[in-house]
Amino acid sequence: MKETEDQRIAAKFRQVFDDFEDPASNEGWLELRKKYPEEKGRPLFFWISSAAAALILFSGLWLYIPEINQEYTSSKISRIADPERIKKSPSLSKPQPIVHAPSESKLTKNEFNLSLDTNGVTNIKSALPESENVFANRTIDISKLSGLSAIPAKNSVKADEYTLSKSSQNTEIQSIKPDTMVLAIGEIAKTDPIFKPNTEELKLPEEKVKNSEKIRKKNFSLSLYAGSYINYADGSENKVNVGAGLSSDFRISKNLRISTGLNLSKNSLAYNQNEPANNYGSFQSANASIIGNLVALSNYKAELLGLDIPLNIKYLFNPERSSTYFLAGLSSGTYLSEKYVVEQSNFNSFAGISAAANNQEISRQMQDFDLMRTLNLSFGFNTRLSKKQSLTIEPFLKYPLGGLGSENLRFGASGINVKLNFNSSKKP
Amino acid sequence: MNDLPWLEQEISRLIALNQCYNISRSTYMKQTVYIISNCEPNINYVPVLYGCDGKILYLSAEDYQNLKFSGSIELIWKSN
Repeated sequence: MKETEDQRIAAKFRQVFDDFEDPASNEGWLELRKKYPEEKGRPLFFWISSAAAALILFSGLWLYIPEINQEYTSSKISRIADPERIKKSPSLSKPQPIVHAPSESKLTKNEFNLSLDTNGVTNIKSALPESENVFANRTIDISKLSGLSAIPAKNSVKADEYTLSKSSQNTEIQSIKPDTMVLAIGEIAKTDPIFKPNTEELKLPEEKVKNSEKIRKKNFSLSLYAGSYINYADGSENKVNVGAGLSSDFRISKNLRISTGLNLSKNSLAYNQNEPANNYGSFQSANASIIGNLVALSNYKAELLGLDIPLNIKYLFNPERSSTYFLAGLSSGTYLSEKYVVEQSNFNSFAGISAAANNQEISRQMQDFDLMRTLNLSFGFNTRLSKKQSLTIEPFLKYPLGGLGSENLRFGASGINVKLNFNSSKKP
Repeated sequence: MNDLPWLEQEISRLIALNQCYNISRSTYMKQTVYIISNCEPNINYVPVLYGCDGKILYLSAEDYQNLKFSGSIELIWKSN
C-alpha cells in the first residue's frame, strides 16, 4: 500500500514535470535566432562556386577520358598486330577483318555463323539469345563495310571456315572482346582487310605536344641573307653596294607568308655635275651672301648605312615545294649614319674667275625614321641544301616612294640576295 | 653663242651701256642658265638668270639667298 502511495506520488511528480513548459527557453531561442538570423537560401557564391567546380570536373574528365581511350586503343592494336600472338592463335594466323561491334556484347562467349549467299551478301546468324543478339535477323552487306569485300558463295570456301566457335584457342579473341568482333575470312585477307586505326587517335599526349611544336615551327622560318645591289637615283651614278640581314616568315595561309626582318645595307650615291632631286638638301654655302660671289656645287656624294625593317607579303606559287615565290611589301627604317659631301666652288663675278673647289661635309646619325617609304618587290628561287636548310636566290627591287634620309634623297636599289633558310620542316 | 640670237642682242645692249658686265653659264634647277652680272666694283648688282630661250628666270629673295648652281660656272663673255 505504501509503495502504491509512493508510486502515486512519483507519478504525480512525473506528470507535473512532463507537462512543464518553460517559456524562458523559447525566449532564449528567439534571442539566439535574432543573433543568428535564418538564411533564406544558399548564397549566390555557393551556386557560382558549385558551377565552377562542376565545370572543372567535367572538363577534366573530358580531357582525361580521350587519353584513356587512346591508350586503350593503342594497346589493343598492338596486341592484334603482335605476330607471336597471331602465330599462337590458328584463327588469327591469317589476316582477318575486324568489325567494331556497336556495343559490348557477349558475342565471343557464343557461337555465331557467317554464311554467304549468291548475291555476295553475308548473313550472320548468331547463337546469342534474342535479347542479346544484336545481329539477329539482320543481313549485313559486307561489301558496304569499309575495308571488306564480300566473297560469292560459288567460291570453294566452306562455311565451316567462316565459323568461329568458343574454344580454348580463341582466348586471344576473348581478350579483345569488349568492342571487337573478329571474322576469320581467309580470302578477304587478300584485300588487306584490317582496319587501320587513325594514327592521330593513337598518338600520345607527348606526341601531340611535339606535333603542335612542329606545326608552330612550320609556321615560322628564319633566313640569313646577304646581297649585292646597285643603288640608283635620278642624276646619280649607279654604285654597287652590299647588305646583309635576317628575315623571318610567318605563315598566314597555304600560299601566303608575312616576311619581316632586319637588314643592314650600305647605300652610296654620287651626282657629280648633276643636281640631286633634293636640290642639295640643307646645304648652304657660307659664301653665298658675299656680293658678287656665286656658289657652284660641282659634286654631291651621299653615303648612308641603312637599317631597314621590311614588312612584306610572300606568295608561294607552289606551297608544297616552295621553290618559287613573289614578294611585295614596304620598308621602314632609319640610317645609322648619313654622310653627305658637297664639293663647291665660288665664282667671283667681278673678276669673272672661279676659286679653288673645297669640300663641305654633313654627318648625321639616326636623324629620321622613314615609315613605309620604300616599295619592295622580289622573286625567289629556292634550292634545298639539306633536310632543314635551303638556299634562295632572290632578285629584288627597292623603289623609293618618297625622300629618304634626313636630306630627303630619292634613291632605290636593285640586286640579288642570297638567302640561307633554316627550316624546321621539310617545307621551307 | 651664235646659236642664241637673243644672247647676241643682249651682248650688244650691254656693250652700249658702257659698264662692266660679264656673262657666265652654269646649271640651275637642272637647266642651263646664263648669268649676267655687273662687275662694277661700286655697284651692288643682283645677277640675272636667263634660260636658253632668252627668258628671265625670276627668283624670289629666298632663292637668291640660297642660290646654288650645279657643276661649274663658266665665263663666256666679259665687257672691256
